[in-house]
Amino acid sequence: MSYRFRLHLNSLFVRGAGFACPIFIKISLDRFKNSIIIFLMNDDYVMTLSIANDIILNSIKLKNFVDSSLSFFTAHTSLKRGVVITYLKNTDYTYVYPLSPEDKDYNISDFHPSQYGFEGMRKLPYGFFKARKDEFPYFPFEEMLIYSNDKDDETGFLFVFEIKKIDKNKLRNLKKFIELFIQSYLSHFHSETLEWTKRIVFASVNMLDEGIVVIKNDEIILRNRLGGDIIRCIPEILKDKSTGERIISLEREGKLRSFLYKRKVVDDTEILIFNDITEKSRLLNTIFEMRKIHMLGELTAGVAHEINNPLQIILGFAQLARHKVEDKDDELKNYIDEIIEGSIRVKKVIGFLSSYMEEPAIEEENHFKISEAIKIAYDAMFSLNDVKGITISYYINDDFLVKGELHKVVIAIENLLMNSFESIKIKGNKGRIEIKSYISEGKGIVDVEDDGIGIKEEDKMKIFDTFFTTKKGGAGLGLGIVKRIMQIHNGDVKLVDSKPERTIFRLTFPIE
Amino acid sequence: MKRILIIDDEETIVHFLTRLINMLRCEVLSATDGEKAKEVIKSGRFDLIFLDIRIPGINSYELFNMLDDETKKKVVVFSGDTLSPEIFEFVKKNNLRLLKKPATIEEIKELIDSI
Repeated sequence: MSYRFRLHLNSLFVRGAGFACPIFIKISLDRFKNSIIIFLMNDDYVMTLSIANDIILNSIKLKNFVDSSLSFFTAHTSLKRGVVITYLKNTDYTYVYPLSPEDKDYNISDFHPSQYGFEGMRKLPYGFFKARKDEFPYFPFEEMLIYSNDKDDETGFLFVFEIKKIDKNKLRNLKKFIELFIQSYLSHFHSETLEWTKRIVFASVNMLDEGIVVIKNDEIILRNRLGGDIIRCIPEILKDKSTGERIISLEREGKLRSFLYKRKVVDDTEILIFNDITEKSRLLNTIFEMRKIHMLGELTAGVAHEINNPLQIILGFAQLARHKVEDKDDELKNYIDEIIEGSIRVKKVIGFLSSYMEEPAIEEENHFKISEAIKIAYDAMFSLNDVKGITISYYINDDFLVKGELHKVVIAIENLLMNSFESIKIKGNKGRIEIKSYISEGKGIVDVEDDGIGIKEEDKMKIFDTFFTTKKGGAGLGLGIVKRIMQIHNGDVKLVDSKPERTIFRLTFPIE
Repeated sequence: MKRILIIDDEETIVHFLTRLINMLRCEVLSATDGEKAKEVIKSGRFDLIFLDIRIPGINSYELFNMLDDETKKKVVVFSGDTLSPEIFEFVKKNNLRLLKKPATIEEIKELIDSI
């Protein structure tokens, strides 16, 4: 049977696929029509699926699917982590082929590796088979079990990948792996009709660790990350039936905290989302403070040379004059002392402002996780700029420790993000920015990629120079500062790719 | 007697350093651009070379690279542009001493006494 197979790959979940994932799907249902939904499961998988069963999939008539997949999972409790790839063909989600769990007693010896190699992959068997990593070039896992519900049915399919050991170095290839896997799989059946319409996007769910309450028929049926003190306030909160966002103050564990509160209604279900922004507000204040110091630092970097030279002349000659006067002329001596004192004060101020950009206090052994710096810079982008039309996402493929000062590295990442942001703005307000952290060849890497206007060939050599800028009103200090910050962290910054569709700046950190 | 060379394009600073170093009873020579500096360096060994970074003609990095290993060890970068990534890299890469402008007479004296 041949039919046109149009595939929209809308989202691939790599994080937070716990409680919030199905809720997210429900809220964003439209986005998932004709989608491949991929769950990267963690230990919460039973919970995820039971929640999905209860509140989401039930209402969209996927109960069969979930029932059977749930029984599948519970029948195989050794499955601690995995990837579930579900293709839902029909837009109303009415038909998805149920999984049958009775194949659990699979026989690995039935598996013939050559049959399922990536190139020219054959039809997968119905049931389990064990895949070997050398057969899959983008295989991100050391060992993987694949469960397929393939029945050559046109309604959909589901694969479950059990991940035994994750090969961290290959995890960043997950996207490519899944893309190839699905493409190869589908092309087997529908090679002439497959239309690949959208690339897979890694999306993260509930990164903010939101507290969620789900209410059905005036009864709380689910809650996540919220204690009784908040739950008790819900009747009061619900007196205001408006949807949309507002900030509310609630007592949590004896302390008053700020929450960004949202209420959404989907069919007969109310979803309340509480995002504790107390730390975030504090963080934002810190970012503002950091920015002020940073701007002073930039300003100082720009004028230091111009001030320090004449100051050397003033201070030097005043000291020489003071030496010459000795005790001969008390009044003149006092005047000169005032000049010396004044110059030393200026020297101290410049020194203080410059110190921000000088060596970090390495002896204090400050360490922080790169993910922390990325998250702060990421949050700051949203808080401080109008990013409408621009998709900003980050992927912590590997996390690593950086020795140095967190706020400086945040500034470095933020400067790169700002450049990307402005580059996209020039192009026309639509685009994407991606931040990725990973480890390669023993170095910690942060890539900032955008699809803005790119960097002209003739400018490439100059971009890290202080005072070089192509921006209207730009001071030309941004990338110079990034370079300086990376230097004092024994790292480096490089432009690794610059085409109009793809500009990548790479920060490299030493890791221990 | 210690022999000291000052390479700086700011004549007033050269003037100041010359006076100070003379007072400290050292021999002092100076150059205000790269070419002159290259000539002076050929004239003999130095115990200390104050090297400013932004000088006309042959720039300071090129000049430094022309020096023999022994002379390189005598170089102290004397610059007011202490935040520039290039200078930082240069100082670090070559393991040089850095004296930031403005320096007090005491700081300069201490440096000269230490050689």
